[in-house]
Amino acid sequence: MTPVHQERRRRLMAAMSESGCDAVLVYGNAWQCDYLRYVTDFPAVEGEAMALFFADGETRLFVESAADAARAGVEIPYAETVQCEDLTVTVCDELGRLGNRTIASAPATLMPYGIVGSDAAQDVEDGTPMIDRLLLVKSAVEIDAVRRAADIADRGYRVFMDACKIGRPEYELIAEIEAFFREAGCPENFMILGSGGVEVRGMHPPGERRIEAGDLVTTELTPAVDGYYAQVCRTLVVGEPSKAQLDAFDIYIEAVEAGSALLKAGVTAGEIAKAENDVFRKYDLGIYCTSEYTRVRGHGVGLFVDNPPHILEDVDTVLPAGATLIVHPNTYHPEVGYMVLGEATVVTEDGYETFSTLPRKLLSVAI
Amino acid sequence: MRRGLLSWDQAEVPTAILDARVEKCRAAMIAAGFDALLVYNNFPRPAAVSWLTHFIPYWSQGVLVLPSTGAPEYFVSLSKRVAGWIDETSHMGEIVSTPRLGADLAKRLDGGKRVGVLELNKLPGGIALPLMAGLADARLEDATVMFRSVRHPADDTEIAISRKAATLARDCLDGAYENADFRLTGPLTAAIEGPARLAGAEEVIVEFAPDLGENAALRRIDGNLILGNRYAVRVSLAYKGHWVRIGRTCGAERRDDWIADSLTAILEGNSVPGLANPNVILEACVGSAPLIAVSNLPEGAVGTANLTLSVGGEIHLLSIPVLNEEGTISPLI
Repeated sequence: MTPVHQERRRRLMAAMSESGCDAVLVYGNAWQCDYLRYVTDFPAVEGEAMALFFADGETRLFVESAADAARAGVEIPYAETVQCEDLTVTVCDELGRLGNRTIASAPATLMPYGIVGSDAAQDVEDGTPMIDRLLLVKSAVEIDAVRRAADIADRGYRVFMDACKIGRPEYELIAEIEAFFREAGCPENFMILGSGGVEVRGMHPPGERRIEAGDLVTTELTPAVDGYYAQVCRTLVVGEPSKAQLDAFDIYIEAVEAGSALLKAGVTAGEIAKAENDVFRKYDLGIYCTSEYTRVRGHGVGLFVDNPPHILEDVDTVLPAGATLIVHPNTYHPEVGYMVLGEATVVTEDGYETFSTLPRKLLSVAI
Repeated sequence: MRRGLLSWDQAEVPTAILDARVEKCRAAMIAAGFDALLVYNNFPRPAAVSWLTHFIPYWSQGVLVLPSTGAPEYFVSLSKRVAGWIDETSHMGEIVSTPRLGADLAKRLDGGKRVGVLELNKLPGGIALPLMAGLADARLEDATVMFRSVRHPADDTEIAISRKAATLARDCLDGAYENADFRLTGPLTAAIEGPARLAGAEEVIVEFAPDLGENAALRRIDGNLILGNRYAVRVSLAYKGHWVRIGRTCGAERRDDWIADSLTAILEGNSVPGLANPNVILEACVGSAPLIAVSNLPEGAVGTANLTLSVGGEIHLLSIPVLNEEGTISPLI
């Protein structure tokens, strides 16, 4: 068992003891695996899995494929792995056998209907808030994993810059990045990008559009190390940046710095978002902080790319020391197009520490 | 997430093919007495929606509504800004961006009496519970058997794309393996995955059993492991929504051709000289998962045969894309 997982189990068992919980039931798939990974350290690669974790540390993993069962036997040998034809049927049977024990399940939004709609789960409590608190505050070993992921992200961004050449289609840039990450032993990355000019209003998966001189090229790289993601967002110009591009980007730098300046234990996510958005409002760009143009002004990172809290003005989550997140005022600018900026950061008692060594400026590549 | 090339080439997947699949599904839906069919998707479960519409999600989740008349409609929790991209890469009707999938689906289905849901038990509770709460008179019923009844045989488009994916996976695996002597999992993964993505692969997953002398479980490696004298590598590759797997045992005498030649005998449970206790797991796409284990490969289906063989006391792992033509399962390429 890895040191990071030993620490997670210790914290989980303490939280279960505090809440009088005998067992937690978690679900994960290849899209969102944070609850499952926290509880078992098993990463879902293709399909989905569920697990029961008991107060004494006993772990029971449920998978549907023989390949996953074999993989679990090697990767988490401390768990009992149950291979079944139908996850929901088998887990419901298991819940039925647990009698009147106090069970909490998470995450509520993804827990399959076959579980939440069953008689066996009628008395199961929602354990999402309990595990969300554990996911939010990172231990020192977890923070170290995010730091290492941030280091790979920075190196990956330099590969991205080198790959960004006139005439290359977007998907070739991603191919180079992914090969770099794999060579470095990093198995997973979340990444979208945008390329073009004032017509570009967001980022998307790579397409066949070819890079042109003068393009703004945006990306967020989010590699994972030991399951922990770190994100870096940067914007570059192919060729010399124009004055309009530089002036526009100064607003994003100011917004990141305004949001980051507030970061410390005790501040709310909403306060960070307001500080970022106030900068845009100061330049009469407040409309570009709305959901028509942007999703969030940052978010947590950890065992999921997009952990809570979302940095939005109406989110009152208090950030504790040890929370890892990204402040990114990514949005559309009407004069130049979509721009992004931000990097993974850990909140401390009296401020924050950023993990990235990339400069906070509008970058460019020579043509 | 999916982060390879996600685009729609209508020459490869014509709208007429997608329309034909939708109509085939709709006919079965109506015959089963359903007023509408709901098909959930996220990127681990993209296959049913991509088969019907070509849409492949890179992130998040959505539900396709197939009404009794008209084009399929897609309810998705991605923002409106992504709707244009969804529209460019797929063939569907209205795209509704909403964070309240269940509640908004209930409004859309108001008036329906029987609503079929592919893999109802796997529908996330965050969608299913508000959906059921919002339906006054309608009831949700599992439509998995109905969907499976129309999913196969594969049409010519599916077979052609699967062949292209299989050829790409094979060429990238062989090209990497034959051009360098790899000692670590990371560089070999990069040597396979980089060229595959450069050639337009939509997704690539490379797994290893790094030392067959110790263990034969295939794993996606987090970090860099030393490759043993004999190891297995398996490439799972997606191209235009179709997944294939190709796996090899490396560091030993190549037996692939001989094993492939013996495939039919192995699948029929007949003995092959020199082979002891073959274990075969067949996979196919029968619902929302790209490839899952099936007891029998459906007639006309493309799939994967995963073989674990003992040859001369040594374990060999092999994965081969296959096609079931008139009851005979043979290599796809």
